Amino acid sequence: MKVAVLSFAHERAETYVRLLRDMPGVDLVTADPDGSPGDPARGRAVAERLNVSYVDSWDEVFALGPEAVVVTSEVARHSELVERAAEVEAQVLCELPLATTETDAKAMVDTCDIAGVRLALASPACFSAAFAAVRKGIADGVVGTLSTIHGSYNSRPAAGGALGANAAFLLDLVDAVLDGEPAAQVYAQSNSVLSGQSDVGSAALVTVRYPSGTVAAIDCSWSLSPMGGPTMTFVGDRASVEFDACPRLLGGFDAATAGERREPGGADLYSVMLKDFIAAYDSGEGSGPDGAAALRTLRVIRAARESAHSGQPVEVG
Amino acid sequence: MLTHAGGALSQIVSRWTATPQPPVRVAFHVSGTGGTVSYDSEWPQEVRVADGAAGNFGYAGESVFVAEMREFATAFAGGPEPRLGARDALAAVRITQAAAESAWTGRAVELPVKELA
Repeated sequence: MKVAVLSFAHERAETYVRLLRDMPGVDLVTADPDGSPGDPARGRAVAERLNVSYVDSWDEVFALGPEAVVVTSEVARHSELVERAAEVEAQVLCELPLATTETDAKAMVDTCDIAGVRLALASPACFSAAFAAVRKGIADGVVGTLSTIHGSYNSRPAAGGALGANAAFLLDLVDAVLDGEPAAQVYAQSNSVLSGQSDVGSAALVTVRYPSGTVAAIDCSWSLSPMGGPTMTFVGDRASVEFDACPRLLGGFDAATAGERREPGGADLYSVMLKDFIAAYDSGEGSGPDGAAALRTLRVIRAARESAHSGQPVEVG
Repeated sequence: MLTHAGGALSQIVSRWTATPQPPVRVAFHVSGTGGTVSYDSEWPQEVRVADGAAGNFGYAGESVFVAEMREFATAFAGGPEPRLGARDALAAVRITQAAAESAWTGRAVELPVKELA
C-alpha cells in the first residue's frame, strides 16, 4: 500500500514517518517542497536521515497515486493537499486543526465526501482502546445519565495558542462520547500570561453547553510542566469515569535532570492511530474524528474565540 | 532481605491483607546513583471509576496472561526466549527456600554465588 507523508512542517511529522516506515505492507514516500523553497536539498536530507524515499514536488507525489496520505503541512496548506488527495482518491489523515476557517473546512469535508474518500483527524486519544472502553461503558450506563464532563490538556505546543492548538484534542473526546451532538452555547476566557504576547492566548478555559443539558468544561491552557494527557472525567448520576490518555507508569527522581521522573504508561497512541488509519483502507471502518466531527469542533473553537473576545457566552447555531 | 553479590540490598515485603480490596497490589522502589524509580499498581492508569460502583466495567489494557502466553508461543516457534525463563524460576525457588530457612532458624543464610564475570 502506497502511503505519503505530506510535509515535514508539523512537529510530529518525523514520528509518523518513522512509524509508517516500519509498518509491514506500507510503501512510504515523503515530500516537503514548502519546507525550504530556496533549498530543495533540505527536505531530501531529512528523508535520507529517516531512510525513506522522497520526491521534490506535490505534483510528483500525487502522480505516484498514493492510496493514503498523512497531511502534516502548515495549516494554511491543509486545504489544498486534502483536496488533491481526494482527487486521486487517497484516504486522508490530517493533523489538527483541519483548516483555519470553517468555510475551508466545509469545502474539504465536502470534497472528500463527493470523492468517497475517508477523512480522519489526527486526534490520538480518540484512537485509544482505553477510550473506546470508556465510550462503551458510558453507553452501557456505567455513569448513568451524563451530567458534566471536565477535562484538561496542558501541552506546550510548538505553534499556536491554547485554543488553536490544544482545545480540539479535548473537544474531539467530548464529541465522541456525546455521539456528535452539536454544541448549543460556548463561554470562554483566556489570557496570555505564559506566552507574554498579547495576541497569543496561552491559557484558555472553555465551557460548552449541549442541547441535552450536558455541560463540558475544559482547560486547554499551556503549562510549564505538561503532564501527559489529555485527561477527562465523565460525571453521571451513578458514577464518574476518569480517562487519562497518558497516565504515570513510573515515578521517582531523575539525577540527570535533578527533577521528578515520570515515565508515561498507556499505549503509544501515535502508533495505534496510524495502524488504525492504515487498516481502515481495507476495512472501511476506522476510529477517530471524521470531517463532520472536525467541523463541529472548529465551530466550538470559533465560538470560544468570540466569547473570549467579548466576555459573553456565544450561541452556536 | 537480600544482600546481592554486587553490593546492592533489597527488601521484599510479601503479605496477606485483612481485606480482599485490592485483590493484588504490587509496588516497588529502586534507588541508585542515577536517581530513583517507583511504581505502584494502585496509581490510576488510563481508566478509573470514581464515586460509584464500577460493576463489571474496567480497562486494564492487554491481559498479562495473554502477553505471557504469546511470549511462550513465540519462543516455542523458534523465537526469542521469554523474558522469564527456567533460570529465573530456579533463582526464585533458591531465594524463597533460603528465606524460609532464615525465618525458621533466625539466622542469615549464605547462597553460593558464581563469580561475576
